[in-house]
Amino acid sequence: MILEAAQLSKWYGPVIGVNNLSFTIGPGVTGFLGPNGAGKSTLLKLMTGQLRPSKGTVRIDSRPVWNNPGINTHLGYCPEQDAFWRFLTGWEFVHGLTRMYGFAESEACERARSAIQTVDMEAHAARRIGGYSKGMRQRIKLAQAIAHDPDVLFLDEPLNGMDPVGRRETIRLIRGMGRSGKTVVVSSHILHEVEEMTDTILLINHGRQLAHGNIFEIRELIDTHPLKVTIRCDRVNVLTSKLMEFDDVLSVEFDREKGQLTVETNRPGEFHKRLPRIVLDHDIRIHSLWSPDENLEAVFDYLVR
Amino acid sequence: MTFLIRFFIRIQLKSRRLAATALLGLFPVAVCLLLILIRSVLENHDVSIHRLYPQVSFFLYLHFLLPILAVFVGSGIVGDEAGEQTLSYLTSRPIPKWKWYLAKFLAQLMILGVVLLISLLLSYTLLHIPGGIRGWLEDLPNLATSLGVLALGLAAYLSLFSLFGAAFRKPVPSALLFTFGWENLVAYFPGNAKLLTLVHYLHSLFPTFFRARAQGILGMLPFEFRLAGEWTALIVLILITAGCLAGGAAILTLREYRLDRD
Repeated sequence: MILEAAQLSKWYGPVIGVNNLSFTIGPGVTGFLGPNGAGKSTLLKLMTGQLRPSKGTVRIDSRPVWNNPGINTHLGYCPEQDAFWRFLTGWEFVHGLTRMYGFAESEACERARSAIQTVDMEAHAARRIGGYSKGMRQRIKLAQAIAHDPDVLFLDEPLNGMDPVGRRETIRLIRGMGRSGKTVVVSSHILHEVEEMTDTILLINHGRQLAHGNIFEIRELIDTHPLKVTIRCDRVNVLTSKLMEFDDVLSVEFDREKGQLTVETNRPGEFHKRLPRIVLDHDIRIHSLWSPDENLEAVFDYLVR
Repeated sequence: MTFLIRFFIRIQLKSRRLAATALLGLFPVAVCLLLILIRSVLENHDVSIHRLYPQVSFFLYLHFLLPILAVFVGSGIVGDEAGEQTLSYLTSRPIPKWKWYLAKFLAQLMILGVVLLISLLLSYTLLHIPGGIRGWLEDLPNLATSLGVLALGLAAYLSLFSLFGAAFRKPVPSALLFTFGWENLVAYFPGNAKLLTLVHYLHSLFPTFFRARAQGILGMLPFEFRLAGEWTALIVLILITAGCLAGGAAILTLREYRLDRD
């Protein structure tokens, strides 16, 4: 399913929640990334029909979402807030909310059971939610969002409060859903979390869209921003001297003991094209090559600045 | 719809509010118990305690328990879901908002109806203990009348305060002001202002009880106090209930509820 936002704005009196966002999201996992207060949750609420746009539209497969409960059949939503009917058991919570999709009792039971199993909460399903840990509450909240097998899944900070095992399992689940052709939108302010789930991001800050697309493509767009590349190889001195001959190389730091050098270039594309030739011509053996700037943190820092 | 009603009944039955509701429901019963004790002290004065039933049902139930339960429960039909932020679970399901609003209203109506029924039966029985089983049976028409009027009043008040809950961010103060301010004040005004109260129509369905309780006040009024016809009162109360439910559902559908803001 295709999600479309067109000139989408939401303001609360004088306060802007999101400002003139336009994007299209297709199947796979997309991360909404931004610091706290950036407008991610507002955007998710607009996309799930919880809020009415002040301006612009949100459509899912060309159908508007505001005041259109029929479309919710295809959507799953895991809200950010730690809100529950706390005196219900985990089972009553997931089963009750699954029944609201119109499933017959037996099917709702089967789906609720399967969802609870998926988030590894079978052992605790008979207990009251009020007695759950934060991580357990996150998981049971996730179960209610996936029980009806939605085509589009919106997850607002789904890893909050989860233990490392829970995080790993949830990330695996989200990636699996993306791979199976579902449209999954995950919001987070923690960069490495998003990075583990997807390469496709929508970067927002102060309600504005900073970038949208593949993390590496976004990095390429920032071609005037210097890129650092760290290389571990066996002939550090030779490689250093060869690289210094090019005017796009701004600096080279090398550490002979580690057999490693870090190059800073302001034309990353040219640098990457040139490097294999140098390595082959001078018989240099490269053990590893990575860019500390090519992760989300660096891109985010640069774009927000 | 049946499932939604059952879902909300389950939530209410498990909530702490039910205990508070039951405790409130026991208050008139405790007052009746006190009256029985007082009667035992005043044995020689030949007090026919069962004659107090109209006053008890009128004052303690119609004017106290019914509105106070309706204020706190009715305003929470939407208010609780918004306040506890569970509204997002309901609004992200493929069910129209009016449907779960109505289901929750009916669930609350049933629960409060049972609380009122048990409480009124207990009070009635306590007040008729001195008269024995015969006295208990003889006065049953009065019990049936008061039960019917209270059921109608409950539906009307509950729908009105659920409308308050859908419309206002903090509905309880305005609901309390309406119930214990406007209603009590205007119901005894001359002219047509009393037509804008619910108690006027409930009084009209309770003519004997109303006159028994309000005789002193009515005698002091410098004008003739008129009640509405019973059928008129019945129809108006049903219309008010339906209108408030429709209004509440419309507000819920059109209004956006900001659970938080990031």
